[in-house]
Amino acid sequence: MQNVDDRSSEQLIEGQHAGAECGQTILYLDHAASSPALPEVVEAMRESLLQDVANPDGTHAAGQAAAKRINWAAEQVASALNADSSALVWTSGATESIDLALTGSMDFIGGGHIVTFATEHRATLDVAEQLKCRGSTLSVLGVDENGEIDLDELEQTLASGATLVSVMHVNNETGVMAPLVEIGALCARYDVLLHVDAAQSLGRFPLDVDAMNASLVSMSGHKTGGPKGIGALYVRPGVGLTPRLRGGGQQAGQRGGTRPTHQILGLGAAVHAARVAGPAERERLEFLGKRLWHLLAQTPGVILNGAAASRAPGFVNVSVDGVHGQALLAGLTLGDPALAVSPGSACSAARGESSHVLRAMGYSPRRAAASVRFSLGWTTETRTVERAATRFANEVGRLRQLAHGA
Amino acid sequence: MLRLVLPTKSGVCVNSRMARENPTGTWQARFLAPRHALAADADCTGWLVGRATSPVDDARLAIYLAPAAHHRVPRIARFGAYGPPILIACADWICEYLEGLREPLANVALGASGVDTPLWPPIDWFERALAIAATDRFAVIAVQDAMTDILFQCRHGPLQNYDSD
Repeated sequence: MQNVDDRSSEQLIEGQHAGAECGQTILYLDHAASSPALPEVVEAMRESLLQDVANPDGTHAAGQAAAKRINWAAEQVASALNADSSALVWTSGATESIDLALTGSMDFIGGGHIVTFATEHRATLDVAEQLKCRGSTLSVLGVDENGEIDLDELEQTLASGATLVSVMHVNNETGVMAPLVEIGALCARYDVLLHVDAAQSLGRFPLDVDAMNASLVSMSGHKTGGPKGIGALYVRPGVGLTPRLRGGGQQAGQRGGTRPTHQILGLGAAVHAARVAGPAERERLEFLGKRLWHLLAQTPGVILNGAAASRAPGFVNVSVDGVHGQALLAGLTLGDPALAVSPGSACSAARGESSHVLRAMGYSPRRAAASVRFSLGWTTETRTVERAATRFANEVGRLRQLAHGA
Repeated sequence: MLRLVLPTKSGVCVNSRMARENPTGTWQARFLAPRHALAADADCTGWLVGRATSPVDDARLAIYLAPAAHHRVPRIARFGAYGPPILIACADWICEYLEGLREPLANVALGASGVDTPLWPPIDWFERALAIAATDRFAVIAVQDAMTDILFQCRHGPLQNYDSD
């Protein structure tokens, strides 16, 4: 991984963000939405675009060369899961992976009882709701005020009869981590399929499909410094899936369409880089996250969401008293320096909603709306979080002043 | 009592040009740098205050007008707003509008007997001046509600036990 001193998040965005106003500085702290592509990813993709001219399913030498490079990428991704590379299905991203995992498995089985959690990503909740409309039973379990699930409640639900559990490893809004080993043990005890949404954790944490007894694992490329438009699904051998894309029969019929060699190479390079960076990068993000929260907490009325839970490094989700959520987000993102942050998640924002995750944690709509997610990543430096914290404090103070007398 | 002048349906207001040609004519610019926010240490004794809320948007607004002893136009207009950025921009714009009124061109005096219902700056003035979408019209309506509150007070005095929340 390139030394972050060489390319700060500010330099990166100033140089590449087409949406930035002239002279505007953007402090990029939205890695959970999308992490800028790593230099080695860009290079791998450039090389692939130039060299891998053939269809990787071609039987000629050029096709086989492309397939060989895909196999290298598959080894990288599979190693991050302690899985066999032949168990991977390439997709367009985590959303498609989740859809294939849930819909594909339930269609193959012929429907059943799906168990998931109220803080899951909409990619899961929406698909689960759709499956419910098609005849499956759906249980959406709650969480406590820290976003943590209740294992006893989960066990009771599984004991009543279930087919599939879907849970995310790292929550994309709060960073709260699910106890996958314990959940996997429960699923094994009750013979239930486990699908893990690892969009936020691929490459950042060691994953072991056997230790967590996972049948299906969804992954994303662009959350870990890879390209957008590529993801993968791990499918444990023996787990049946009805394909969602049928035409062409590629990938053993599990997902039709030509494999995008350069995208896959980019994902492989990203996972390789993340694994090399490994614990040192996690430690660095842990330090930066704590530094950011320490600075944000200097402003009265700022609350860390999920504070008591086990959280992934680099996630700082705060709610702010006395400011309107829309004004806060607009003030932070439109001003200068502009903060690239999200109100919970980009997907919630796209739907015009306040965070369903924070509301599921029992927070009021006002508190959920007045929340900001800072997500740090490989481009984040100490000065980035310090400037962001100063900007945040100034904006909160300004909006509170504007609300004075209202 | 403050006698506030505002344009009527037949009147021509000098501020219409401001509405059409506001050089800082987007809501984003006004939201980021409003010039008419009520200062924390402002002494509002004797000022008229019009309040409005938009519960669906979790928004509340107050317009403050300073009395002017020998003029019928507000000398100073200020606002306090808790709500979406559009609301803040609209509140700042109406304050600038009110401060820019010229008495000779005004033909409505709030509080005067027999006055027709005044015509507030029409919604499309706000929309053009601030480049806001029709879907954000709630902010304009909140501003108009606050002005109506002031109008009511001008004519009838403050309501007893009035609770705008």
